[in-house]
Amino acid sequence: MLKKRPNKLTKKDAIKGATLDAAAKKRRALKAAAQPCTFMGIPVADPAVKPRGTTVKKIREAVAAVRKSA
Amino acid sequence: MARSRRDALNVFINAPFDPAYDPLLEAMVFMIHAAGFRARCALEENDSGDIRLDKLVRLIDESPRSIHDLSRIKPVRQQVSELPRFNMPFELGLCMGARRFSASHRYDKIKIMVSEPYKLPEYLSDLGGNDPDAHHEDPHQVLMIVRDFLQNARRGKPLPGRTALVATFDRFKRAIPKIAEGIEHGAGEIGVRKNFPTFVWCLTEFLKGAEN
Repeated sequence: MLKKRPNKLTKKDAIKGATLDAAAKKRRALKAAAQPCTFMGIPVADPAVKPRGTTVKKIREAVAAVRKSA
Repeated sequence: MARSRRDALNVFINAPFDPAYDPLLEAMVFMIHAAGFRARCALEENDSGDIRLDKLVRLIDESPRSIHDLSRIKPVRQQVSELPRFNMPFELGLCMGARRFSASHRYDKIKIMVSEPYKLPEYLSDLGGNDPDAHHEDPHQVLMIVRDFLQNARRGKPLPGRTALVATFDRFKRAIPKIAEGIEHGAGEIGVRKNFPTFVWCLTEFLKGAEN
């Protein structure tokens, strides 16, 4: 006969839950801080090919710097 | 050739790649991305092993929309033969053939642009029944033609008006040398023809949050 699992949270479950909560909190914070991906309400699609001679991260930083200085 | 995946956002650009046409090409690419679509053209890949016709066929196959500029098909006067440029009409023919004979391309949208109105039937009488849009060599006019073409299939909110689009486009053109410096390139090294993939990434990152 199968042994029925007790219907209560173990210490392991609690740790797992806390980790998931922390991850979700971090994701929410990152989403709130992220730049909008729209132009006047229209979602901007990423290009089909990666940039050459640089990285997307560097371009993002350069654009942010130009926007800040303007 | 393996059948490639079609992306509803792809817009194939069939335009001349010469320095005099750069401002018009920049406007076209800008408007495609500002409307939420993705510009695709032969400049995006630099693979000498890839046969040019195969590349074009793949791009057309992947793009349900295409924009064709027939304003530069005059004879090349530097050459002795003075032959006209057939590339743009040829690629337009490929797109029209795909639409006519392929079931998966039946609903493809095609926009034809010319420099001056009412002149197309003189040199391409088979397209006498089509209504091309004339841009008069004006980048802002190209913005409006592409905007109206993509307006019917817009994503999200209605597309912005002429004033907002022209202002953002001009701001981007002023910002591009500074962005180029920020990514360790010379001020003139990032251009629509010189480094298309990097140029398009600079454009999309600029557009994201450009209204702020």
